[in-house]
Amino acid sequence: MFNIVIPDLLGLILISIGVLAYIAFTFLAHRGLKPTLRPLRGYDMLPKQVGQAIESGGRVHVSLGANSLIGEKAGVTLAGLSILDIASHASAISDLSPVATTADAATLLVAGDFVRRAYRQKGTLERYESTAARLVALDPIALAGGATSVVADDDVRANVLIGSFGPEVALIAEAGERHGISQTIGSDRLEAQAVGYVMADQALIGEEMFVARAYLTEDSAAIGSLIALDILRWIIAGIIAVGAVLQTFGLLR
Amino acid sequence: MKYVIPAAIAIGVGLITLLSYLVQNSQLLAIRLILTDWAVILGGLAVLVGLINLLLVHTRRIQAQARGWFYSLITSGAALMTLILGIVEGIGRDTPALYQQTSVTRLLFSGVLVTSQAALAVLVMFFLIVGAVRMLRSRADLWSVGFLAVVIITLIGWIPLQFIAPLNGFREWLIRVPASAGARGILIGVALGTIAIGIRVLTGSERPYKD
Repeated sequence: MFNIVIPDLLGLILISIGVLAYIAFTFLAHRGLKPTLRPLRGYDMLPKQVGQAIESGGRVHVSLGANSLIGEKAGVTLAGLSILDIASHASAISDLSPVATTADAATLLVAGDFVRRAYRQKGTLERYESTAARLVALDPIALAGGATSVVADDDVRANVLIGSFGPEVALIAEAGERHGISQTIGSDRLEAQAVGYVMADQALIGEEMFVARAYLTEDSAAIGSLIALDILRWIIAGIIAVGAVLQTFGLLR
Repeated sequence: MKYVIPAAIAIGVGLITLLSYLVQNSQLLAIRLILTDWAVILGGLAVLVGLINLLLVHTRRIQAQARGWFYSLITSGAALMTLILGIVEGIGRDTPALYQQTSVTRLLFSGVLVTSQAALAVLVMFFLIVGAVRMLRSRADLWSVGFLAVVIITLIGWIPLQFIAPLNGFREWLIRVPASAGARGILIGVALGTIAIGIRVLTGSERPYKD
């Protein structure tokens, strides 16, 4: 009835370890465990970037990319939405809503809800703009083209680009640079990470974009998942090292 | 209940989907396919909401005569025109307008959208070069110099000239060894990050649907 193949079994074991580690460390974090987190320049600067944009009377632009909540890029979309949530809570005290741009219609609905919820929680719902979340296009390059006009025309003072961007993110980053805006770029794709390293003030490399809540909030579940992620990383590094040694000595076929 | 029911649905659906990938079972697979179909239908309906959002954003910009309002006028007009054309050309046909060989919708798609995208894609390369030069001006550290040196070596290494053959070999080594190793490391990190966020969704602590 149930048939499990070996690589899937390995995946199942890894995910089970991840879940157990996550539950255990979330519990410990809830009880007061405060691990010392490796400093990440991106997250050191992000609150300042958002704060400066708000203080100068401008908006924060969070572009979530063309990735969807439906499908394999859902994790990346959720990571972007986490950062939008944090930026929205910070912006809810100012007169201007943040602007969230996306090229995915399903993400649009959730992004709008995130911004609205932040304003409601801060008790400033009357300042919320219903056009805070915008569907700019339906494909990545058109999104990049459309987002450049948002950066140019909407009093944007901070540019946060978190999603499954490709090299086209350079178009938005260039518009930001032209307007002297501070920028953070995070993507799951290598090309955009390289662009981020070159063009942004801060680039989030690899898994860094997934740990925003652990770095920027006191959320014990986020801290638990960060520690679980580290444990999984060490396990995988160990498997790779053992595999390399076995392969070198001809013990692995 | 306001929080429990959506969380229970999300966790249940997530678990069924995950298990159907890890455990080969025909019933689980059938349920997953139904759930995926529902998600696709909802995604399709969301596009209509997205179109309304696009028109709303640009109509407000036109009303307020905001900076660049004329482009908003063009955008709104183009969106409406394409929508109407798509509907009209699809009436009484089996295939959607975009897939009909002689439709205006198809002509607009290939003649305007695809060519504009190609033009934007070409601009990316120039922006990257300008960005790299700016980086050297603003952040002239060892890493920036190293980054630019590798980019230049890689670009020159592609030139098929005999006297730069050693550079070609170096380029190949750069791509095969350090670049591949770094890329794999980063991609493993991304995969782990996705798993971590997935676990948070499955346990109900990451709730994009919460009120």
